[in-house]
Amino acid sequence: MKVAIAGAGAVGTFIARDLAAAGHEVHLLEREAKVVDKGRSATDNVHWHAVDACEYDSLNAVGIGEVDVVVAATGDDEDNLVISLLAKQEFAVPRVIARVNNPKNHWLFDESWGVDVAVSTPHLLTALVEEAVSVGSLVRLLNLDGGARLVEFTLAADSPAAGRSLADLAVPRDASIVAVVRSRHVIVPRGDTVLAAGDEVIALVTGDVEDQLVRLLAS
Amino acid sequence: MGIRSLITRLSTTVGEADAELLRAFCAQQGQVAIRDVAPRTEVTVVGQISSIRTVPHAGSPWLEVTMSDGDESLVVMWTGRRSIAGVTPGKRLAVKGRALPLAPGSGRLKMLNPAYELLGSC
Amino acid sequence: MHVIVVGCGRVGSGIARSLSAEGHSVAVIDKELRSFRRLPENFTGTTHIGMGFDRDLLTTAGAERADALAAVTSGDNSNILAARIGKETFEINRVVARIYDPRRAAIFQRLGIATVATVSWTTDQIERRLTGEPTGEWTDGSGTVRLVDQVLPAIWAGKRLDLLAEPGKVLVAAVSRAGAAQVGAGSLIGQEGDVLHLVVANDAAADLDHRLAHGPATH
Repeated sequence: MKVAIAGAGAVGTFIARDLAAAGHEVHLLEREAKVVDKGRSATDNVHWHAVDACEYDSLNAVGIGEVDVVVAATGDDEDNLVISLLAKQEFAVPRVIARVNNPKNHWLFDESWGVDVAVSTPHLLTALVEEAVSVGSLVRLLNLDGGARLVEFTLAADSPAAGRSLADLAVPRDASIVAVVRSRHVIVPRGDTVLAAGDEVIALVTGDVEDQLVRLLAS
Repeated sequence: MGIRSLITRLSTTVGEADAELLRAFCAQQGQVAIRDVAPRTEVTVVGQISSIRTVPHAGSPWLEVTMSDGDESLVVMWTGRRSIAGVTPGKRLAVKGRALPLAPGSGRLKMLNPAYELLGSC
Repeated sequence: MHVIVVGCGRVGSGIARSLSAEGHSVAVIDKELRSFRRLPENFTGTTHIGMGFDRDLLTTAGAERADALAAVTSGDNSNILAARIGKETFEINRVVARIYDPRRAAIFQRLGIATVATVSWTTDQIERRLTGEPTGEWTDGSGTVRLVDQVLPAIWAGKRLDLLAEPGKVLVAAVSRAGAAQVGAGSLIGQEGDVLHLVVANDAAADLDHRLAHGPATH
């Protein structure tokens, strides 16, 4: 996979190295020449480019037209939005992921700006914090394209779903149980998977079925 | 999700004789036929507007125009507006840009905010 | 008319001062308090500290009832953001954005926002784009003939521009579209955003105004 990342800050560089290590062709675009020089000598499997990712000509020169994913990971929301728009509109990049620095701007990061997935660290942190402390209530992990959402629910001891199989449970149509985590093992759920107290149920939901799901799993 | 009722639609149908004339017109323009458009390559496409709708996208309206070259159709989307003066069903136009799949896995294509030029009727 | 000016630099403060003097209601937004020092002592408009893409700030500045918005900060990205929000979120009628990079300006113009490149446009010209008045900047020595810049009226979209010409009275000298211009109307069909550069004999001005407002004669 060919990936282009804009912004060689801590986040951008980390993602670049991670993806490069996984074998993808990674291009890292960074405005500051000094950062690029340092970066080039520190990593050898990432392609560094000292360019402004907000400029059409720069993106063109780097070959964004052939890239599969663009990650707008700069520390500036305005730049991330413009980069996303250029990537989607001018270069038809199939997948555009953008970092949201200030949660107040989260509302902007949608398809109007070419953003497929908006990643807001504070939002993710909130979800993780909630996840860490809650048993018996639904935690939203991630909002995906098209209104789908990944949620997590840890079954309490007195959950009505404990001891019942998934087939038995009548999971609503717009929800799909995608994994059950039990004692650090991930169980791929099937109809005959029997739930137990303490299980972390991960589900993909669309529409307004969270309440129905909670009624099934909570006491 | 309750949004469908807000979509307004205007359209004209392209009859077979018209389709023939349209195909001839488009061929004469010398650009790529819609069926031959490769996604992500910059192309200029010529066609006739067969339908127009305004669709809400996350709170702001988008103008969705379907244009046909007599064989295939292409969807052109303009973000954040309900209309463009002069862009009405039956009008012929050329659009220039890179096409994306209309939806993941779809064979149909769309263009987002392309450069466009209204063409005269012959 | 209520106008929002985003950016209180040299251009922004000039526009604010001028529009206010003409009796319009003006709200100026800038991220720095000291920028407002450029405004005259007797400035009757309001000032707001913050970013031009802050939805709440724009609401406070009267975006919901604004007739026009000028995005004239020193940053292209800030300007395009403020302009799009003004146009798409608040549905402000006339939005003008100053974009330094000509390539980006051409791209953003396709979003339906009038973009102006600083080099060629004066404060006066930006102002007239906001109020919708034609700019008449050149008159010949004898005062018989003048050059008028007119944004294409909606009624002329889809119509052949050579229909505006009237031998000896009105000449379509040039048409600007998407950052480029051509001499003469040729076979051009009018489109939103076109700027017409017309040479008009003074005694034909009233007739031209009528035809601009009502479209080509149908006979």
